[in-house]
Amino acid sequence: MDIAKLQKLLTQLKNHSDWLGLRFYSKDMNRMAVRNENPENNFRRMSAGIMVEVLKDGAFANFGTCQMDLSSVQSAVNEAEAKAELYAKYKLFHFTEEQRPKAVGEYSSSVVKDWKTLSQGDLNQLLVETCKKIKVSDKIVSRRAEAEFTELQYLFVSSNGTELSQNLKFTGTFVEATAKEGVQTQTRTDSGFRGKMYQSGFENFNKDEYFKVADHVAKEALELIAAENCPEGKMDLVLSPDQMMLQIHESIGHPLELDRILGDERNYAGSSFVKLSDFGKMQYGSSLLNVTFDPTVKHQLASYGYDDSGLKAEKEFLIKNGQLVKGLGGLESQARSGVEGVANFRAKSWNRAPIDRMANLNIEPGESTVDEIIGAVKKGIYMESNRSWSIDDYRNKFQFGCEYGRLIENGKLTKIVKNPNYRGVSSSFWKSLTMVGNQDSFKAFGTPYCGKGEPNQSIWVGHASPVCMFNDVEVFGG
Amino acid sequence: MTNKDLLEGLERQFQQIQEHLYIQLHEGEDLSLNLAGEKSKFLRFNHSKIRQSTDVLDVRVYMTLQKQWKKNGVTFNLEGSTEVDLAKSSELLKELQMSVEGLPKDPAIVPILDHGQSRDVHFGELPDADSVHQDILSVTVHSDFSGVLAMGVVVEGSANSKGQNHFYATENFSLDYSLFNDEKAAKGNYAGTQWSNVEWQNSFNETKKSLQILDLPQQSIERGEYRAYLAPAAVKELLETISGGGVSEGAYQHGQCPLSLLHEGQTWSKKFSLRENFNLGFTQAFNELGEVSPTQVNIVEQGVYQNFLTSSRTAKEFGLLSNQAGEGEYLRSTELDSGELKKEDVLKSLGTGIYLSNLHYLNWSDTNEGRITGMTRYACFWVEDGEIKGPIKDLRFDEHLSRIFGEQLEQLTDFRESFLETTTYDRRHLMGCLVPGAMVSSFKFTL
Repeated sequence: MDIAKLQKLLTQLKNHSDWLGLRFYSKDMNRMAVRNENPENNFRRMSAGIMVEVLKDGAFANFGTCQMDLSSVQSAVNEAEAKAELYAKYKLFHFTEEQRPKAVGEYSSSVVKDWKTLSQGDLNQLLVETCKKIKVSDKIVSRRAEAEFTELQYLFVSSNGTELSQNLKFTGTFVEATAKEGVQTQTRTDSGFRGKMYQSGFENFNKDEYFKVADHVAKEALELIAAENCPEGKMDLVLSPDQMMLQIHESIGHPLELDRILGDERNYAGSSFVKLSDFGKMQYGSSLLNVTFDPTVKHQLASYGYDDSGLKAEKEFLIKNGQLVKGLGGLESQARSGVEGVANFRAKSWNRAPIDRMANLNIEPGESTVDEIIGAVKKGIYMESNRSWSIDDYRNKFQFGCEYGRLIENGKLTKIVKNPNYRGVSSSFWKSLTMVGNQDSFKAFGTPYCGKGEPNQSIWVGHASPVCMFNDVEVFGG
Repeated sequence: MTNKDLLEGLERQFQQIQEHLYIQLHEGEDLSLNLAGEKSKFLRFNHSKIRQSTDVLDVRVYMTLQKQWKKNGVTFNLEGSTEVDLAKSSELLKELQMSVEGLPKDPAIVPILDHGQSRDVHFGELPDADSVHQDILSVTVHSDFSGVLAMGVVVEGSANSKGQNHFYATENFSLDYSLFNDEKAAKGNYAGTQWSNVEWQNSFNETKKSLQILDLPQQSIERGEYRAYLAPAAVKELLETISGGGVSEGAYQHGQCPLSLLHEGQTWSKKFSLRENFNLGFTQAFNELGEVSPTQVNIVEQGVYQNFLTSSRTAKEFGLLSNQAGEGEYLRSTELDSGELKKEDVLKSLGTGIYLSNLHYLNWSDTNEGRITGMTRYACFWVEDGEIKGPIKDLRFDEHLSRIFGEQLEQLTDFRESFLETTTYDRRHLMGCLVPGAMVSSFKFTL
């Protein structure tokens, strides 16, 4: 499919609605996984279809179909029109074309070396070699290496002149080692479960570095098996960027989604401790906290040119110097709430309607070096790589667990500790942010697994952060 | 097009693709084909109004080619045109035939075999698609109602070049909803295959009763250990977490199973018997390979480990016997035995403690020890001397499963509730569980 074909299809359709939009999505994902030096999985997942969206009497209705011939799409349009008309009397809000502004543009991921320049066989061999690097001891009972490559095309045309064409390419790698001794096991990964996914090609992949990571992950799994449990008590907590990713996601991203605050998610993922009246007033965190919504970062996973309403994607501060400025809400939520938002109205595919999502949601770098942060801690703990997460339905009380911890004693990293966990309350936790790392510790991560919505949809998001320190946090072990 | 017409068309098309592809196989090649389809209606509600309406027609074929210890797979959507879909499937098969040669050998590959034929199609009585919103909203009109209706037909097929051919389809619906009184909420779910406005009204009335109890003064409960009653919906949440890797033989063998201690001889309460039971009718008994599971697989019997779910791949890798579990080795049709505690005795038996209607966002907090953390959610109450005093503020728990279902399990209820899976990630899933409530002598709340 290309934009001209989709435009032609639009012009051929009989439309009796006030506004009609067609979104074509196609996804072509290749994933290969090797475990214990043997291929575990090789599959290619392709999905393509059109989401028809109509607006009639102030109500939107959607029909997603994988049958893309003119007759099938016309049936989908007719069905959607009938539903919009039927539901208009019961609609939650009277929407207009203002929520689907005319937009014309293109966006493509910046890719130099397409992964297709390597054969599937060569890539499998690379993963087999990686598993061999993880095999540093007989105690490593599970060795896993994976690679994932995705091409995503989405096209959007509408009766008010929108013509958007966006082409994304993702590359992700994953390495995991599980060590076992007696009944004790410890699993170490490269930055958590599938957290290393980027909008790029194979040009950023360095085989030698990848092998080093595999060796490192395996050795740390062994170290963890021999380590003491994380101590229990209140102390300073220093989080690595790959754990900050989760912390940002769960206790800043989701609570700031305007559709949650408006109640759309109350039956599923929940609501938010943030109220509409808090925007522009609430002190969300310490003055060191600066959070941006930034879908313009080259190579970060959730970058794009336009959201699914046609709104141009731009960098925006959501929290500036600790104060809550804007919400994560697209044009529909902005119209409903009267709160300023961003271009984040996104669907995961052709078979789901767009909702408010995170894109790249980042903590801007501060001024401290990692040495200064560690040096400032008398008694504390440093944690890396998420392995467990749970938070309440108002996104307040959380408990997160990490793969790897190290004690900090009198300004120095000392013993490794296993099963590090911490718990807190979002509304007070961010106020305990006392040091923010500088650009040198700033790292980006991305995951395709942000779940939300009814019907459910899992979408790709990116998070970047420097190393951060929080004081007086409740930590504990296994 | 009716669902009956749709199913007939899909079955015919799936058959055509099989015939078209099998004759293109080369010597030594075997092909397995799975079909997954749905025609679904999703109607999302907020504040007793319609927030979003989405209809979906989604049909996919999963194709796996195997040749001499090597395999490669692809999934694609069927576009509905025989000519287009056959051409696409041929092209993708050719690509698999070319690429499979270059892949490494897989010593744990499960050969493609003929696991039989079956055809199992269940038509229900779904509500009228043009008036169901009125049926729902006429009942909720004076309430703050939020939720989603998912309804339609779901199709699963599994065939292969050795002659296997299974086809399963069912019509069903699920109205998963919450009622709110400001920030206090009660959860309801009306699901099944035969819609009845009377049953929907009854479900709503029951949920509304729970909401009314929330009008009692809120109780401030400090963190600590309390007696607790876990209603069936709360037990379901625990079992769903267990199902994710906790009863997987593959996860156990790879050192990644949170219930490995159970596998290695830890015993739980004699009152605890957990099994997979396909007689419950939640889903088809065949897995991705077309293997038909035994009707019942006992996981834990009277507190003692019996089996973990073992796929043929895990069985081959570790020299074990398969119990025809699916690739992910999670429970698809869960049953927990009931006990003797009667509904009318629940509050009396609890005495002083916490009544947990629902739990939320569970995750493992210690994967070596089988410890789970999560939140209370919806109508959870503080009870004193068998009397509900009022709702509690949400609490975080962090507790070992071996304590909840072991030394601390006092009784299970003599009634059980059935839950159809409401998950719709990627597509509507066919799963379910039948579980009782549980009275525990102690439950640890940490925040």
